[in-house]
Amino acid sequence: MEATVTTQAVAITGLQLRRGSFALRDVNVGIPTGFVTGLVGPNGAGKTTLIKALLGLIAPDAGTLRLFDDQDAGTSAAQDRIGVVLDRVTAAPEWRAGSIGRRIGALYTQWDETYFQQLLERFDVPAGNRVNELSRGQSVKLSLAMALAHRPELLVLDEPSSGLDPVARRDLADILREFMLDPNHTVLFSTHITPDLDDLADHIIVLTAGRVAYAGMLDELHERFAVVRGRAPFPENARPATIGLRLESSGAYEALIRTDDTALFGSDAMIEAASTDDVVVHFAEQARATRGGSDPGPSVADREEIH
Amino acid sequence: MTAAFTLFDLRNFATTQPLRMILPLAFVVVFGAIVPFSGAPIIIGALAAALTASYYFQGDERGLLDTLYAITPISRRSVVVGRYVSMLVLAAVSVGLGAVTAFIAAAIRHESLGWPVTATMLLAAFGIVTVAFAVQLPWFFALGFTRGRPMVYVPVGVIAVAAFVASQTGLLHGSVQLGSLSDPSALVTAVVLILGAAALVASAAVAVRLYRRRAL
Repeated sequence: MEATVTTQAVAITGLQLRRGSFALRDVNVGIPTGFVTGLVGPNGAGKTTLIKALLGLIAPDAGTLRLFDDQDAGTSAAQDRIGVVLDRVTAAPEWRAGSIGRRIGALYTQWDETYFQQLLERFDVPAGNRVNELSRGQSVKLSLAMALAHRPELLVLDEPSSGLDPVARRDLADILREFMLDPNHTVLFSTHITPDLDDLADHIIVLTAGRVAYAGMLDELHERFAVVRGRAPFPENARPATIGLRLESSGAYEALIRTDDTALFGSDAMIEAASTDDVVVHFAEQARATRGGSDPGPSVADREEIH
Repeated sequence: MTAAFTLFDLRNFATTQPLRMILPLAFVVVFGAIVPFSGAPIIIGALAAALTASYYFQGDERGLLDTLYAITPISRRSVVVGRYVSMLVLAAVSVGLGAVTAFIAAAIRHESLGWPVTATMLLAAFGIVTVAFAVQLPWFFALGFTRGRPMVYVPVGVIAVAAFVASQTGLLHGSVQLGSLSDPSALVTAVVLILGAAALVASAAVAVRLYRRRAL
C-alpha cells in the first residue's frame, strides 16, 4: 500500500534572529507543499521578519531555513522557484506597469513575458499607467503578476490584503485559489486580518512575540481550542490550563483553553469553539502577560509538541 | 546574470532618471567649453561621473529595488559587480564626452590639443573616477542611500584635494604650461592603471561582503 507523504516546501529549524529589541526565538516550523499556510499574529509578532529570513533578505543568527528539501534560503536556485508579494510593490514609481516585464524579466531564468501581459490584462491593471498612478488594489495585483510571471512553486505574500477593499480581497483570494489548482504549488500568506484565511488557508502558523505559539492544520486549531466566558471569580484550578486570560472591569472573564480542559469550568461558563482571531488574541495576551519576565516561557506548541 | 544586471541598471537609470543622466553630460559640454584650460573638459567629465554616483542608490531606495534584486534569482555578487560595471560605463561616456568637447573647444580656439595633455588628463580622470567609486560604493552597498548619504561629499573632497595639489604645483597659477606636459611615461601610466584597477577590484570585493550582510 502506498503511503501519502506530505513534503515540506519550507523547513525552518532552530531559527534565532535578533533585530534591536525584537527577536525570533527558536522557531521550528514547516510549511507543507500543496497547502495554503496562513502566518498570523499581532503587529510586531515577527511575521515580516520571518518572511524576510525565508527570502534571504535577513541572515539569521542561528538555525537553518531549507526550501524545496535541498536549497538554502536566499540562494539563486531557491529564489527562482519563489514568487513574492510584499506590502509595497517593488518597482520604481516611474515604471509603466506594462514595461516591468521587459525590464526585470532578464533577472529571472524563466520569465514568461506573454503570461505577464495576460495577467495584467486579467487583473485589470492598466499597462500604460505608471506604478505611482496605481491604486492600492492595482498595486497588489501588479505585484501578483510580477510574482507569478516566472511560474513559481511557492508564493509568499506579506500582508497583501491590508488596505484592500472587500472586492479586491475576494479577487486576491480567487487568484490564490487558481494558483493552488496545481498540487505542487504552495502559498504562505501573512496577515493580521484572520477572516481572510478562513476560506483560504489549510494550515496555520500563529506567531506571537517572536515565537511559534501554534502550527498545524486550521481545522485542528478550531477543534483543539475553545473560548470560555463567564463571570468572576475565575476558577483557580483552571489557571494552569489557561492560555491568555482576559479579565474585564465588569467582572466577566474570557480565556482560551484546550478543548480537553472544558471540564474544569462549571455549567455557568459559556464555552464555544475558538475562532482564528480568538487564538491569535489570547496567545498574544499570554505573551504580553509573561513579557515582564526575561522569557515568555514555553508556548502551548512547545508543551504539546504540535510541530 | 552580471551582464543582465548591468543592462537592466543602465536602462533603468537612463529611463527613470533621464534628467539626472542628461544634465551632468550637458554640464560637461557647457563648462568644458567655457573653461579655458585645454583638456579640462576631460576632468570635468570625470568629476560629473563621480558626483552622480549616488543617484543610482537613491533610485534603488525610492523603488524598493534593493528588495526586488534580493527576491529575484540574481545573486548579490552579480548586483554589486553589475553596478560597478554600469557606473564605469557611464563614467566612460562622461569622460569620452569631455574628451570630444576638449578637442572641439581646442579647435574653435585654434589650439592644438596634443596627445601628452590628453593622455595626462585621461589618466587623471581615471584616478578621480577610481577614487570616488572605490570609496563611495561600498558604503552605499552597506548602508543604502539614506544612511550612506555623507559619502556623497567624497567627490567634493576629491575636488578640494585636486585643487590643492594643482595650486601647489602651480597649475592654478598658470606657472605650469599644459602644453609643455610631456607624454606620461609608460611606467606612470601602468602604475596608475594597475593601482586604479586594483582599488576598484578591492572595493568591489568589500562591497560584495558588506552587501551580502545587509538586511533588506
